[in-house]
Amino acid sequence: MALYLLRRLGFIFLTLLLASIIIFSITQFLPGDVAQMVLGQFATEVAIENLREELGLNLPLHIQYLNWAAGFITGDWGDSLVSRMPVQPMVMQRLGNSAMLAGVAIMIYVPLGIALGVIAALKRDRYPDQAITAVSMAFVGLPEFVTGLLLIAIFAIGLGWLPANSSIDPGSNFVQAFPYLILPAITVSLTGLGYIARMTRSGTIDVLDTDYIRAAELKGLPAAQVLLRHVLRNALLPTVTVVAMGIGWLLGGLIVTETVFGYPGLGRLLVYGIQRRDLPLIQAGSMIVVAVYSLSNLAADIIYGLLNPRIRLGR
Amino acid sequence: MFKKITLLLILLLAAALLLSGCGDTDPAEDAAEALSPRHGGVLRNAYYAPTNLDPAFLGTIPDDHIGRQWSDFLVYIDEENQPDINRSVAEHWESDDTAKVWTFKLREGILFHDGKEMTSIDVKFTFDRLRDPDVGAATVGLYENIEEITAPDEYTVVFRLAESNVDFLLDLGDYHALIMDADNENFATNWNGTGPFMIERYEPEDRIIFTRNPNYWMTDDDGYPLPYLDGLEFIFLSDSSAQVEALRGGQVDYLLYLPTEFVPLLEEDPDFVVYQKPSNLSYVLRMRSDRAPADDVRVRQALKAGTDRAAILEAAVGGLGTTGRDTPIGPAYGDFYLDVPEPERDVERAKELLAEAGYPDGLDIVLTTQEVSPVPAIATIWQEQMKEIGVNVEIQLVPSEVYYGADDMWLEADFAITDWAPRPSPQPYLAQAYMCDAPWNESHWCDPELDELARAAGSELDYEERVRLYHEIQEVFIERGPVIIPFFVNNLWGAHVSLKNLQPTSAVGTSLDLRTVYFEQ
Repeated sequence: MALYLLRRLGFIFLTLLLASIIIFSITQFLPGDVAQMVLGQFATEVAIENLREELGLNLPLHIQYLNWAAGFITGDWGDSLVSRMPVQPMVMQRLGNSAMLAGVAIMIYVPLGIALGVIAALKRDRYPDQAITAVSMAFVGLPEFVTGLLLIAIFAIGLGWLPANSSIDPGSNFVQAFPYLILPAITVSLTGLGYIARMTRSGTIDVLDTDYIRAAELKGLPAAQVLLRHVLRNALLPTVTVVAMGIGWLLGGLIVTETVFGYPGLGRLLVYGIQRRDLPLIQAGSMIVVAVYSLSNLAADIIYGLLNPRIRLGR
Repeated sequence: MFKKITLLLILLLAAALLLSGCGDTDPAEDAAEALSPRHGGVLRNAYYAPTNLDPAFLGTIPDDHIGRQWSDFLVYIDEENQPDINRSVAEHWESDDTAKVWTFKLREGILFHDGKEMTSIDVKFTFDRLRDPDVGAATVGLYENIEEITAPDEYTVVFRLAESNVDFLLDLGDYHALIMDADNENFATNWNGTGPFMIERYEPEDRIIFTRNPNYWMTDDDGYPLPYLDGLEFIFLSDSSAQVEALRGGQVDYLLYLPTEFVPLLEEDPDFVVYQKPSNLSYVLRMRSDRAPADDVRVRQALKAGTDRAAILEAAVGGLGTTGRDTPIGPAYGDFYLDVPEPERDVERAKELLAEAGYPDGLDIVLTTQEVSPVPAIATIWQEQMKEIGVNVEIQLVPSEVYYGADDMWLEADFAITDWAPRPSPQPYLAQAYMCDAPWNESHWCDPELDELARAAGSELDYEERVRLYHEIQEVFIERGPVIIPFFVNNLWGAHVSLKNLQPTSAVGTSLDLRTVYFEQ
């Protein structure tokens, strides 16, 4: 097991390395450069050249990359080329914010999605199943700026129960932030819910059709016990993967939701970095997102093994 | 009407309260700390994130909005585009008869946020930096005419110009010209200014937080220290609906550059007030006049005759502006504006002109259009109008970054719509875009008579004569100019009703003066 973990962590390191090279290369192909962005459309050539020199943008590309990589590994993530402030606290604070939002969203949509998926499977092809499928798919299809603005209109402006805007104070803790997290978390949940429900439904249906469930039912186990002990344990395997993938999405990919609610999450910071060609910011932010993706996948594989001893790993 | 009466009553009541409140104590006798009932509160605002906070490189609306809170101007430009000495760090200014030597006397005792006194050294440093080609600020061209800046004593600054410039005060009020500390070594992250608010914390892409400068030099009419507000909090939201929802949801108190589509929504809500003021912000449909087809004046006249300006104003920005006369000098300039009736649309005349120009069967043109509201709307309506005079307009939609990007599409395209921000006087438009050798002569128009008139207007010391020259310039534009300017859009702000003393300005929308703004208790 330890060896397996070590090997997986080694792969994650390689993934990060590869991702950092790819991201670095892509940013070189983006039109425009950071000096032009920072100094504006009307700055003179001299000023732009001075700034390029000062920021080290005139060094050969591989030197630029190695400088960045050496710094990153030793914990110096560099300064933002735009604001000239250290990148690390910026990114880490946003990561914390994103984690809070992701946490609340997961608490909402994972249990709800599993419950709906199981109900749909048990009432397969009947009215509840069709209703659950139709509604959850509709929400998956609706863009977040639509659901987000609708929720704001109803719960913030109309009823006045919750804040319309979630730009929480920097450094807010979870308790302070909680009221501001509800609407964005629901918005995100409505999108994520459908996937979980669908995965759970098909997983449950597969298991319900197996002989061992039939056997369990025939030997007279109570229905609840069959469901909880035998069906769910097996049916949830694919769902675990969907949840794990979802964590990466929640931490770095909620750009639309974060923008609609003004929530200072990691996704928005990354887009801001990309718009301004702020390389250290883009690199640090995407490294975090890639790491989160890789680690949550690793976690999913481990949980997989715990749920299903047949594919337990490392042997 | 009812609204007006209520407002009047509230104002009277507020005045009465104030008078009764400070009737028995003379504020001037109190210590410097004595604050009025107007004092207190943190003003929150939501707008896009800034790009650069170094005054020499301010480029965007949020950059400017932040800058003018933490420092001051040698010459402050007021809501009517006039220099206002009471809000400037200069307490006196004069020029010689030729408008070539300008002398400024500074107020004594103005302190930077770090406690250092501001002197002529800092003022000289500020403008030397802005005109230094090695620094390369966007103002190098603007201040090219300065030959030398001297500081004969601690509170006197003298500018010596190469050529006369009657608008020099306005040039000194440019938004980059925030007074800087000559000892500052890092303008990107050290914001040591003299302004009413001090930057306490800057969280990139999130917000910027200001606290009140307790040593600020300005006082109100009763002798109380300004500003009234305890602080400012500018939250960066990159979506205009999010900004408006934040206002309606009570998370922010005011918005600047309110998009026109949200105006009806806020106007019907009793909790908010929409402030507006005509500005010279315009969307200039310019026709490239050095090559076919618009090099023929009859083609330009035909397109102008076929344009229904009022319809474009109504459809593109909901009528929140004034129709243009196809000259860059709008009604925001008062006397300088030539107030002629709006040109009538004349489809037949347009067709005749096209036929005379050799296009009896009409004409196909490409209109380069930035993907920024309301430009596509303007383009679409104009396209419809042109169809009726036989001109087929193909709209080429490009993002703003591309339009103003490395290939200078905005300077190259045959027909295009460029947004032009307000300037404090008409002269910069002529010098930057319409004289033959203007650096941004996007229409490539060169008219010797206009050049001569524009040069004369720029150095004319007599006001009446300047008015006459600007009127004549507008006649040239109306007759044969290279632009269609359908309308000038109003500056718009949305604010909570409790926010008082907002003075809408016809200059850039960011120059709303927050020093005297307060919350009604």
